[in-house]
Amino acid sequence: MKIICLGFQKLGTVTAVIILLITLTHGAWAEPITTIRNNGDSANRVDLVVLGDGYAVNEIAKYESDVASFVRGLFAQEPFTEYQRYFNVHRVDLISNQPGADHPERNPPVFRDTALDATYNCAGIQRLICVNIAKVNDVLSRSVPADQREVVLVLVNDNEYGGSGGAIAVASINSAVVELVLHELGHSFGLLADEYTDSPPSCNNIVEPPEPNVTKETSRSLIKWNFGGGSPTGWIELSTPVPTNSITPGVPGLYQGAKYCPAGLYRPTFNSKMRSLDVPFEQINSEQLVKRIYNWASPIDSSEPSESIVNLVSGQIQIFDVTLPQPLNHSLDVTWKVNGDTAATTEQFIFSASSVGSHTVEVFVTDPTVLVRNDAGGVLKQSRRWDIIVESARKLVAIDIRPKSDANKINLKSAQSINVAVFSINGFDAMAVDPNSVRFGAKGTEAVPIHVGRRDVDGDGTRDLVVRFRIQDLGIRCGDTSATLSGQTFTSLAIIGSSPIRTVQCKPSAPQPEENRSVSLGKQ
Amino acid sequence: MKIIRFTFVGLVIELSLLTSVLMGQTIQEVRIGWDAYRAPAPQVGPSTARPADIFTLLARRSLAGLLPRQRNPQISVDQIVILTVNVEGTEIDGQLIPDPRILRAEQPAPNGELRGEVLQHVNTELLITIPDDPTIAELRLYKPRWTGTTFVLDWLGAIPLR
Repeated sequence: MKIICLGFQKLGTVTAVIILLITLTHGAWAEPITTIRNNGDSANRVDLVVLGDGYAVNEIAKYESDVASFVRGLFAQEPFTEYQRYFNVHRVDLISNQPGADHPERNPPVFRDTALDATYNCAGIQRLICVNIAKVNDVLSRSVPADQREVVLVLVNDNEYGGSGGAIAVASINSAVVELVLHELGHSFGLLADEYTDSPPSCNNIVEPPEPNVTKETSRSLIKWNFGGGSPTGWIELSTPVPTNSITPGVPGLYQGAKYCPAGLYRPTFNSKMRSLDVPFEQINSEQLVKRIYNWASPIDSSEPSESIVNLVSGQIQIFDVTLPQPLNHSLDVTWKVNGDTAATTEQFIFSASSVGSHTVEVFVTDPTVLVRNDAGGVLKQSRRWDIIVESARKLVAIDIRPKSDANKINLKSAQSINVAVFSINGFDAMAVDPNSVRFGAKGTEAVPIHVGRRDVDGDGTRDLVVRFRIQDLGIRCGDTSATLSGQTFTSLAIIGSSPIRTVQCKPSAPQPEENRSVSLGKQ
Repeated sequence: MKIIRFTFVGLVIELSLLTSVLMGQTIQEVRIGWDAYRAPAPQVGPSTARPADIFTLLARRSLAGLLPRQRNPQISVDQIVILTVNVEGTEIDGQLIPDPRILRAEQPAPNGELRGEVLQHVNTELLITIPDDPTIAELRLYKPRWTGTTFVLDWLGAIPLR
């Protein structure tokens, strides 16, 4: 905004208005945005955007440091550590007129002029920070591309513990709030339920909850996180009793008390980040979070070639490859199949066109992570298929149309035939050509031979092949400038040869006089 | 009221529109004001809120870019379903977005367990992107409700875009 104001002061009104219009049109009002973790194209990444509130103009360095520290905290927890390369993080440099946030609960109350109006004591809850949603959307709309807003976090420049969850996560810079934000991401990103029992919200243990980490089911084989009744697709070991009374952390089972109900609903582990802070998400919640990451990011970043149909000539090779996102401590499995048979397990595969005909090349990429046991939606997998058409290699041969004539004239009105010679030259033996395979015409596929002869046409001491075709079978049209002969040898080597032509007798028939046509029409 | 079937308790749903990938070179961004409740305070508990659901088109623009793409959307009660409908009444796009009314207030209790409540913003906004299609007639908004076996989409309102 300061730039525009200067423009008005120093320039004439018209110029200033023009600048203003150009500025508005090109979005110069947008706040600077810096991608602080760039792990790939946003089209195949989860994009987290951080907006700072309560950072004054002289606090940009502090803001950068606070964001970096907060983001490090987020990615220090599994499964976000293992899958951190599936995320991009963008920092919007948003300047507030004053530092900090509103504290209406203090005596005297504290009010700050900040970009997003962050205020503690929202709804009378001291630690609850609310921001102005309209102002957040203003920033997102003018500064952040639409495919870079999957997760929105407002970081408030205030050391007091506070934050909130929902469509927009809000956190103060108190380092302990990272844990709260992770819990809130469990809700908004992971679609997970609370596993704590305190109420409100009200307890409903009458119906099966929809979330993947809470159930009222007590039958081992029907518990939603124990698909298949146990390992390898389910999480509850046969040695673990159901319901489970253990207090050992990280042991999947069926623990009473979840989603605001002390009884009648069950959670998957004794404790987890959806129940308490400063503990892991644990297995079932991590599995769901990994699947949600794969909701936004495919296990294939890109693949080559881009075309789905690949035409090759026998003997050629074609390089296929895939680029993949990289989990931190394990790799994705890649399998290439040719006509259904496994051919390679590397990211690049070289197909050798040794066999004429149609083939398929498929690549299957799977994340073999131990964090997911049941991928019912198939999000940890991706495949791509190419159809390959391999044609035989063609030997270029020398031909001559009308061998006895220097001019390759073709009278298209003629009912006669025309000879074409295939020369034995440069090591090629025209006697090896299978006459039954030979075709000749505009494309080399039209006319079949009506006579075949073998003689030395060019006087080099070797016999040449002379093939005769009906002119009317050639498919040549007036104005065509070349004709082609194709065929193959007795050993299946394809041959092709072309020669210039000149079509004659191409004048169109003189039109009937208009008068005669009128008379003719009048008699009908 | 629309019913979405689900195929697994993990909530893989079968609404094919939600998996549609309408990727183009331009998209439309639509911003909608949502007066969700009649209430005396800006944030309220669900039991004290009387729904109003008044939607106001605040802004609409075309811009370069791609629609955010979800490979396997999962429905939940904390989301809003938005269907984009053309002049012929055909649904040409569907998407799930976080319910912008939800405000979670949670904090650790003395025993270490979390406690909290889920409040609702009385006035909020939707900032969404849809295909840049000149035949778009309106947006239809639904709130998923879980019955114990399936999700039912309760009608929230429509925003004309013609």
